[in-house]
Amino acid sequence: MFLESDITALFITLKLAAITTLILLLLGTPLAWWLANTRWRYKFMLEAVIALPLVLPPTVLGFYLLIALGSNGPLGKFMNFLGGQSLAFTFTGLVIGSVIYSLPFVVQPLQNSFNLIGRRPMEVAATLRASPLDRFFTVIVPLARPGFFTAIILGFAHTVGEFGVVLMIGGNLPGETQVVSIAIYDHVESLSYSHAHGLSALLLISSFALLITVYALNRRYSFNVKE
Amino acid sequence: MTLACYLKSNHHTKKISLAICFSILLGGLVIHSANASTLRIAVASNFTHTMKSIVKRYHEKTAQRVLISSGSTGKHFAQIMNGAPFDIFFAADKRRPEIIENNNIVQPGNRFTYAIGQLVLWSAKIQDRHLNLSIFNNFTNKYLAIANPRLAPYGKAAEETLKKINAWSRIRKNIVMGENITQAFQFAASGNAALAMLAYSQVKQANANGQYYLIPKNHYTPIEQQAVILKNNKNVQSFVSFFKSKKSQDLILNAGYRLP
Repeated sequence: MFLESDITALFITLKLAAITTLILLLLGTPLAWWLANTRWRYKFMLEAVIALPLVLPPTVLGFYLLIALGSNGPLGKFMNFLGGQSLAFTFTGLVIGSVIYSLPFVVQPLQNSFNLIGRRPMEVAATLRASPLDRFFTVIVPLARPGFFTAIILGFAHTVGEFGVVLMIGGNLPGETQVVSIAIYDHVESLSYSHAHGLSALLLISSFALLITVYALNRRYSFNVKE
Repeated sequence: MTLACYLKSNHHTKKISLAICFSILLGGLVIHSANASTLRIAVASNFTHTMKSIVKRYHEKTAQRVLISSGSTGKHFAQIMNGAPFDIFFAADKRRPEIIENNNIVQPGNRFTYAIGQLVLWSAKIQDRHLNLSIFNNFTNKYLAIANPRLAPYGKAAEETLKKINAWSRIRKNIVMGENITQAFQFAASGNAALAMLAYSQVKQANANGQYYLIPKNHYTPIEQQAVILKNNKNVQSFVSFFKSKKSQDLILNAGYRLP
């Protein structure tokens, strides 16, 4: 039912989603923590910037990235300066695009759960002489576990479903930038509906399973909190 | 009409009269759109610009409204197969018009070739006045942008050309594909790809700086763009005969196509 190129596309997609989610966790956690605790006056501006990928059509994001990565764009010039190749049409380029594209899906659930926990647990731990890092990892992270689950799964799933950005900066290179959503689009456009059906069904079922996991886990954890 | 309906109604009959009002309004809309002598044409993206200038000339002699829907031939095809109300379909290839004819959506004889596309090699970056296919003899650390051969006729022509000069498999990993020639153009115009294989009409229209080289036409199967008349009536016939007139044909030639 699946072509060899489809399996490759599936593998690239999973790899892209996994790496993107990992980077987003590393970047998003401190960012969300800072946003949840800062009293900076202009915090709302940064929050709006982070939420932009939620409302912008992905093609807009992809278009800007294509220009930025091009030889006359800032990122392209920077890469030339470093003596490197353009990042368009590379897996690395897709990772950069996906990190921006899925940023709100990781930062927002984390920030919400940090907000819910409040300052109190950190203060209590401080009276027990726990260092800031220690407090964060032994107190906040376990308490924010549902937030982390939601962030990971949404970030992952949203990257799997990415289309517009990849379309604009990917270049459809098999084994490098051809992801599942693009493969499906090609199948539909070239009228090979049976291949499109197979891949689409696979995406539908796995996305549904991921979302069920999010909601089931959130339910379980909210019960735990009540106890 | 709405006001009259509202006045007539009292609380007993309100629902019924509302329903009647609605159907009258709806009926009015349907009749209105059926009456209007608007011509609806679906045009492949690469020909849209040319079509617009033809329609402009057409308007010099008639007041008939012409609606142009520009888009990919694949999408137009799917819409037409599902009953989209187009009068004429100007496709980017001849495959889709053929399928429409073979599915008995139109009578035979309503299909004609209206333009033949020319493939061009274009670069915004490389300032070589003698740009030609020999550039692929040594093609590393660069990208060539083409349209996806599975989806776009110009992409297929590009693939055929590269296979003909035995470069396809050697430079395959340097070939990036757009969904259509417009995207391939963007890849090259933004400086991300050094070269692109595009439609000559597109390069002419974009009036873009850079070098181009017309690829010899014996390197690829002719890119025949066919049209199919979906509804045959007086308005459609008058437009088609204008389209086939010398005036329009000159516009097509000037736009960078060959004529059948």
